[in-house]
Amino acid sequence: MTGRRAARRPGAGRQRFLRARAVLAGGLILGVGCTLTLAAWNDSEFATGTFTSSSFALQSSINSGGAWLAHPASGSSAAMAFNAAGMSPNTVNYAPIRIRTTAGSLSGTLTLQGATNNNAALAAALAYRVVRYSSGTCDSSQFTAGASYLVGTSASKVPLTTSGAATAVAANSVSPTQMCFEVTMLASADNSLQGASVTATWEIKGTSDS
Amino acid sequence: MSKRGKVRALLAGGLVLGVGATVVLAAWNDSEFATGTFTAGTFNLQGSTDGTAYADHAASPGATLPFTLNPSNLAPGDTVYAPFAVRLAANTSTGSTVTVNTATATGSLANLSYELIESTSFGCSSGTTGTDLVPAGTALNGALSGVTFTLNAGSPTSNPGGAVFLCFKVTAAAGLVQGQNGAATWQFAAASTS
Repeated sequence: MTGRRAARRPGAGRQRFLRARAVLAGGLILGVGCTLTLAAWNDSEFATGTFTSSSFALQSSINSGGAWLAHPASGSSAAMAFNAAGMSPNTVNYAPIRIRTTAGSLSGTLTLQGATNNNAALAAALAYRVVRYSSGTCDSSQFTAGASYLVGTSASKVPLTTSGAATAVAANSVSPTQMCFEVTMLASADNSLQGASVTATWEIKGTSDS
Repeated sequence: MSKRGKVRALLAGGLVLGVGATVVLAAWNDSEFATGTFTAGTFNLQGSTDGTAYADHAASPGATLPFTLNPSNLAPGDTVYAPFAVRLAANTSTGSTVTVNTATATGSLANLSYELIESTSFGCSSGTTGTDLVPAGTALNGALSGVTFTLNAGSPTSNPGGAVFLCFKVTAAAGLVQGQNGAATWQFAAASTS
């Protein structure tokens, strides 16, 4: 046994030498690779694009443009200036609302949604119609045969729950969209409704054009 | 289906849902909310037989007219007079048109006629004049048509409206039968004007 171990010693030394050479050779190859990478000057150009989302926001005014506010929730809605006096069968009340976009906003489309209410019996005794108008006051004179009806027609008034036709709203706060609401107590309103009160809430839903 | 196949199917499903959601949000949204508050008015008609105390007489037979002579003891040729007044009660929000309806009769009213006058002050006597609502000579239960007058609501509406004064003149004709007994009830039906 001892003799065989002694005979192998020169062989083990040679193996270590071969390994070292192999490692060095590999290093050389790596070194060559590195040198190639640095074989030219480098420079880059960088370009950026800035992307900003557009905005779309609405405001309304219930006093013919005197004050503009956003009313984005039913709990903080704009209270339209209908005649506060008690209504009788066939009483007709009018109130305007103007809608515009905010400064910098896109243009869009407005869709009047049917109203919710807090007194179903009295609400059922009311009917309404809405026109989009451009000038004059919001009263019976707006409800002509040729008017732009969003709800109802010149000949028909519909329940408060009826939704309206879509209409445009301009961009960047110019040219407010003017709507005139007409609410009528039906001739068939029951005697028992006397003294009752109802609040109807309409959502005017806006969607941007782009 | 293998486990991997199921997972891939689920992922594919999720992808489809995602595409659907994106379509819904293809534009910006904002809403304006607006409210209108609507109140129904109130409406109440009152009558008075003395010109000062007004009360509701909403059901027949209603208020008893205070005839000047005892209407229970009429003789042929007698005329008896009774005033009445109606108004819209306080807090009535609209004016009205009042229609006098044909009297309903009980018992015998033969040979009795009447005249109904709208006068300018409360009271009723032989000298009372005014607008003739029902012409003299009309039978107590004679048919009435289109007999109306107007009542205004108070101003402000927390006050009662102005009254309309009425005068009933009832005359017994020569043919009045002894011991006959009857009653007439008139309805004043008020309808609000919007």
